[in-house]
Amino acid sequence: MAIRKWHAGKLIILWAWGGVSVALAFTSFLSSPVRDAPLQHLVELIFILVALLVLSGITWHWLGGRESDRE
Amino acid sequence: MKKLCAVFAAYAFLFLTFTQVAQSWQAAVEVVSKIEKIPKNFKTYSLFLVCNPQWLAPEKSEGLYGLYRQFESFGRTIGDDNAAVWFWKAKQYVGNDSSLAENVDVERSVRFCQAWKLKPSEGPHLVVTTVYPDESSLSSGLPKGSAVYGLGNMSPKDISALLTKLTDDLIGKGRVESTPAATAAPLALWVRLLDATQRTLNSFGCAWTFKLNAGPVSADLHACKAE
Repeated sequence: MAIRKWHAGKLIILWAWGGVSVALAFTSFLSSPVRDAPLQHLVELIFILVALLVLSGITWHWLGGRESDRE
Repeated sequence: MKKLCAVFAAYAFLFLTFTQVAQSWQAAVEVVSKIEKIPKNFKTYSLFLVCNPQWLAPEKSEGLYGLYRQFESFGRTIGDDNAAVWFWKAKQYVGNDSSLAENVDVERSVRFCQAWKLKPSEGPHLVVTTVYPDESSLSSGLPKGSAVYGLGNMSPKDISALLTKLTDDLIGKGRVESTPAATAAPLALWVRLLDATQRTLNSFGCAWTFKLNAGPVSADLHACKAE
């Protein structure tokens, strides 16, 4: 899905949903012992890291060169 | 002639009655020969697995016999819903001699020990599980929630105390608490790293506090409840 133009609102929505998903995965990761389901915990941790990286990457890309607009 | 028939009938009736009564409290299940399967339809199964070669030595025959007697008593006191299982090779008189070790079906116990990753040196083992121990699908590993006890380094007094506690749990709660040794296999490195990460994040989560003091309004938030 190609996004033609970024808008602050789009990033807020993205971070809101992404943040909720990450928070849920984080809560699940911390709530039960790793030994009970190691694979599940590994998947959750990887999801948390990947989700935060993707969100950060999208935000970085959107903010790239923005300072030129203010000059 | 009639008196003889009456006496015979009474004797047969008494014999059948006592054998039925004996079978009704047979939660001490002695599985004999390779063909006989562990009976089903019990709530819990407590398997006595002899995989430790040291316990088969002649000098340990007294200890092995003592363990068997404790198994018998345990099996009789845990009720009809719970089974205590012991494996024999053949049906024969159980005595405190060298034939006892020869008649214990060690090979069958070893299959369980191998599948469930139990260390023979820590045995004999007592494994309590609520899942039927199906020998045809042992490769699936130790059932979740099972409790494993290594009796090898325990004195007869300690074993007796353990069995007493397990009897209380089985009669009172219908189950035993799974022990850390239930996951007998050593954890992989990545699992230990994950565990350490979880503990670090948990401790970090408890490290912050937030205080707000704005005149009439004051708030004090802690991540974790102070003990």
